[in-house]
Amino acid sequence: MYGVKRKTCDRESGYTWDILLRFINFEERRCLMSWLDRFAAHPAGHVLTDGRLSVNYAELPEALARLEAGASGSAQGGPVIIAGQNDVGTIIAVLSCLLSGRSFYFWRPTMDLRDSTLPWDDLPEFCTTAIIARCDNATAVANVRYEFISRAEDTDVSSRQAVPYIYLGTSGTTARPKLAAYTSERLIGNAVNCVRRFQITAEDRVLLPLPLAHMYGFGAAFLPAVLAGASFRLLPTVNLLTFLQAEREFDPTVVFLTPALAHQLITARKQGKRYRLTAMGADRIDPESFARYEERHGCTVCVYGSTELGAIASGSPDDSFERRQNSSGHLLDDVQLAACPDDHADGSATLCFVHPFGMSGYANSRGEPELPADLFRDGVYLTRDLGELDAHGDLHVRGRRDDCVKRDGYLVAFADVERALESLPGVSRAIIMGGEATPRGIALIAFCVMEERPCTATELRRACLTHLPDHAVPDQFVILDQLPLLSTGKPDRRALHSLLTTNTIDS
Amino acid sequence: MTARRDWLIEQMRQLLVEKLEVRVPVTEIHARTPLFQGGLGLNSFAVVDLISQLEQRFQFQFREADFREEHFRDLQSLADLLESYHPAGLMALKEATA
Repeated sequence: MYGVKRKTCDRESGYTWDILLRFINFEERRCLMSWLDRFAAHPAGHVLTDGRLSVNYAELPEALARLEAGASGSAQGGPVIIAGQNDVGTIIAVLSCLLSGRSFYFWRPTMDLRDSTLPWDDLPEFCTTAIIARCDNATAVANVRYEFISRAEDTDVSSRQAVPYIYLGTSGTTARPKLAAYTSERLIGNAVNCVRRFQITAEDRVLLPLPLAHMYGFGAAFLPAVLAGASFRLLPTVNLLTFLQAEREFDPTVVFLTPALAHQLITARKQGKRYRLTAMGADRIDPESFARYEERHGCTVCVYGSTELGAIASGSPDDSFERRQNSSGHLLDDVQLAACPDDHADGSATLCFVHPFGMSGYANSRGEPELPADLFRDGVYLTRDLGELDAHGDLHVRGRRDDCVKRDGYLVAFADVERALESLPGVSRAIIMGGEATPRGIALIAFCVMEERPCTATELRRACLTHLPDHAVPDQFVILDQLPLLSTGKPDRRALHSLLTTNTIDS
Repeated sequence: MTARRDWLIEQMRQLLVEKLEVRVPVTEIHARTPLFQGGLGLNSFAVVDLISQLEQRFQFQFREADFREEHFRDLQSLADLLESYHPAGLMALKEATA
């Protein structure tokens, strides 16, 4: 078990940190129960809410007990799937499994769950039961109905695992997501780091306009908020209207965003609204948009992390504007940058970390974690990102390791070309993808999102010639009104790839 | 009044198809077709586009307090909201048809 060294707290978040230290250092189950006991001590007005249903901390033990009673007989003790809807019913199901030491896959469904037909072929075989919270007709948390659906009649033979795991799906940029298996201590260790770095206290009101069933929403926003005893608000459906409505009703002090959502706020809203802190994750935000966002919404920090390790680095509200604007912040407590065995010849280094709270491995067909040898070497996790720490200890992420091609004998990092394109007037965002093999190497295809100023592919190419060496000038340009994004806010590379098969290419 | 309302809804139907590239034939978009789930399925980005397109076409600015789901439920509710602004684009039409 990983312990957290006792450290002086940066800020007077006193009682929260005290609980967390005890939580991490003691035997797991006992500490989880002590966490449950502490719910009653949180102020009564502090709630977990989706805008329609709310539960305050004092009511949580009763709500959890109600679900446990309903579950007995419906499901054995083995791993379950929790359908990750953004509602209070799902929050209660997740806390119930977490606190009772039951393994669960926090699944993010992409289809309408109203008809109860689940895509079992796409769900992990070691889970035979799914829990779906039915909140539609509930007028109070006590009326939330839980549906327990088995893969098939009499198949729920899975038994309780010796070590309970929480499984989180990877982003799914590529085919079927892998499942990162976390012990609850490591997830909580990650959350403790976030509580400290974001300085979340019981007085905060945390708004999450993103999917809950994802490492960013669950590990960096939800669990830290609950550990701190803060109020927490989810959005069942996310768009500008629901976000602004939640903002008006909930008056958040801390907001978790992606750059894509931040851009929408910058574009559409008429006035600013200041929060104590905005955490900006899932993708990097360009410095200009960062400045425009912060001017309207107050202190903002960039968060860097992954499904496999959780939160790795983040800015702190105590950092200067320049540091917060231009980096992904400094490493979280007990996380270390490690030397990479596979550094690129051009000097850009693959980011490798030793992380005490990372996953135990990807789940195999029995739900057991296995560490892939290509990603973990001697306790060091190799990300697919390129970057470095600067003299202040701030992390700069330069792009993806696997996004490099050889052209004319030179290694071309997509991230370098993207940055060069984004420095051109009128280009707000650029993504480079590899195309077909050409005589000079793999073709470079540039997807560009333009600001107001229209610009043709020819003009872009001409501009590139003055900024990039010949071998790094893209072969084709696709000009887009907006970038297709995954719900996590990351560029949807599969959608971009599918554009290549249509006739929209302006080359 | 009715003619102006019909014209306004027609303008918005065209805008949805032409500018927002809604993948539903214009003939299937009615005043009560939900803009989001169970209807046109507009996503988060399309809402922002819709707002700026409406402001541009009808020459007015939304008040932020009006960015509420109930106003953006369907074209009927949007028409109610737009008329409350007396936007320049609509007033011009009113004069032309008077």
